[in-house]
Amino acid sequence: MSAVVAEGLRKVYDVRDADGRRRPFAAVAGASFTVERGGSLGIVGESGSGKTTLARMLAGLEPPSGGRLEVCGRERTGVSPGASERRRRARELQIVFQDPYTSLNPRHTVATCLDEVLRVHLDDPSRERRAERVLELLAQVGLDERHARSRPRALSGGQRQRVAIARALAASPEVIVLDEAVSALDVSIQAQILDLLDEIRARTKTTYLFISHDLGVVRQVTDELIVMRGGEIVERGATAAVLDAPRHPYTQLLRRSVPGPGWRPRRRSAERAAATNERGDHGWDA
Amino acid sequence: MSEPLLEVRDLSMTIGGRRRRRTILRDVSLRLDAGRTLGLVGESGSGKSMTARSILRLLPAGARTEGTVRFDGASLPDLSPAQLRRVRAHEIAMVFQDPRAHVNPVRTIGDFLTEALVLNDGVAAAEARDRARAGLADVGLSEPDRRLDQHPHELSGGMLQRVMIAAALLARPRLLLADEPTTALDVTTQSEVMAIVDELRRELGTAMLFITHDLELAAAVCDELAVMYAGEIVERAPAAQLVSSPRHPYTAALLAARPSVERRRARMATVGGRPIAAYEAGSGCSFAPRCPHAEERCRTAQALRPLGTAEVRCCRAEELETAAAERGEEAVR
Repeated sequence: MSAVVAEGLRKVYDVRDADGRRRPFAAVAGASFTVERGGSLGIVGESGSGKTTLARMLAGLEPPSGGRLEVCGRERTGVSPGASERRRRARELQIVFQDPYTSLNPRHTVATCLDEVLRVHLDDPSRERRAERVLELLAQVGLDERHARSRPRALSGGQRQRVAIARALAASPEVIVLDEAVSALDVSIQAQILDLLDEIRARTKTTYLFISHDLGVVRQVTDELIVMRGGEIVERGATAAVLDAPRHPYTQLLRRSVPGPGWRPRRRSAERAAATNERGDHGWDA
Repeated sequence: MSEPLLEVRDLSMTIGGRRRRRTILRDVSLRLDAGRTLGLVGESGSGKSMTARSILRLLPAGARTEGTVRFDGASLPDLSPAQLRRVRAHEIAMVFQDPRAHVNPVRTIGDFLTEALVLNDGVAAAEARDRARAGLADVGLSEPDRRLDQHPHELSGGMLQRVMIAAALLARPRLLLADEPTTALDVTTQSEVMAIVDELRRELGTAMLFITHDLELAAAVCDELAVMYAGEIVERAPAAQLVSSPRHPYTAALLAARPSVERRRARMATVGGRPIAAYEAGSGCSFAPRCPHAEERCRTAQALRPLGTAEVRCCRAEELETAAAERGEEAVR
């Protein structure tokens, strides 16, 4: 069964142009994709490509302007779900944000932060069972009892992001959307979190939608890949295939821009013109 | 050996009040010759930004430094405020990670670019504007004339960072301190901005101290690299060599931790724990608690010592290298 099905998902905002006239602007201009249960789909693109808007629509934080979204076989496009429906949706899909400094309540201990979720989502929400589950969740992300009593400010960035992942896992979701969830971390911590995400997926068959601008990270944790530019999907395929032999000029440009052995930075005015499509220069500067 | 353009020797720094002083830098030494580039690489809290800032004496309140910083033979900590201003205006320029935090949002780009020329060099307003326009064209901004009358909020992050680079290079400085100048930019914009910096720097013969967390980016644009951990330099080597055969276990761990766009690894992490700050380090090797190769003698203080063309702060560097060679691998990776 497919965990997530998106068909022609669109998000159009009203923006003012340089002359102050209102005009519609499509942040996401019709995205269609399917992720199988236990799969991992990477969504890459530059700032302004629409990848975060797409993540927010998937998480129900932004109502789509059009198209269809199905999570765990159930339609998501209906407006204003009731309390029980919201609870059900939370068990289907959770999101982890980029910045673990602003996504955790600074006044709550780590245990309280997880307990809040467990109260709502645990089948047996007794105090004992919740306390037990808090420690299980923390153990899953490599933290312990000591961390459970800490407040976010006492934790490092890597530890906070582990807490954010544990909180997402607390609802035992089928799908986790990770929006640049490892981008702000130091590389040695990032490596640990990437391993952790791999282990969790292998063990729980959780489905990932992994939004990132980092092609190396995406190669490590995803099976399938979508490349977005200016609100549109310009290339898709198996992650390894897309990164080894990119077909779209924009993907080729992205791939060439990654520093590595023998790499030299290049001015690319000519390349840029070739990769720019009729949507104009949105998402590009100059 | 000729006199280096920049020489930092045994630079140490502490911050905080009388009761609780915290070490930020420990015995940092580096040298940079005219027109060359040195990359200073490390994770957050390693002290790389503070090293650059202490060169220009852009220090946090309550900071105390020891050691020498010589630029072109002059000791920077001993300069008078007026002399220091002159060095900042003409000799050493700095570009920061977040351009928006370093530009006045209510002044135009033109004001920003011409202010220093008019005030410091007494350049006539019209000529300053011409030079600013040329500077914007150099960094590849379209319609430089229109940009001069725009405000920072009208420009994207990549465009604004190019403006900062243009501003830094307008005074034709002899040294550019670039502190994560492309970290906030998209990867394609990063490539472009680095190419621009590299090209203009070579034209002007400006030396660069490039601060970054990205080893591979640093290796691509620098002659030499120095890796920092917990406020000290743990390895220094020619750029290509440092990346292909790291001598310090931390350098090797940093390289291994970066996911590759070319292949997927079975496992990423080679070290546990988190990077520590200088004030958390004990008396022995600061990386020892996380190091897979640590043994008893790593608990004693380690000196930065020469090893071939590199310098390394690890007492086991030679044997680890031999062991790796016997396994037919690169260094300690």
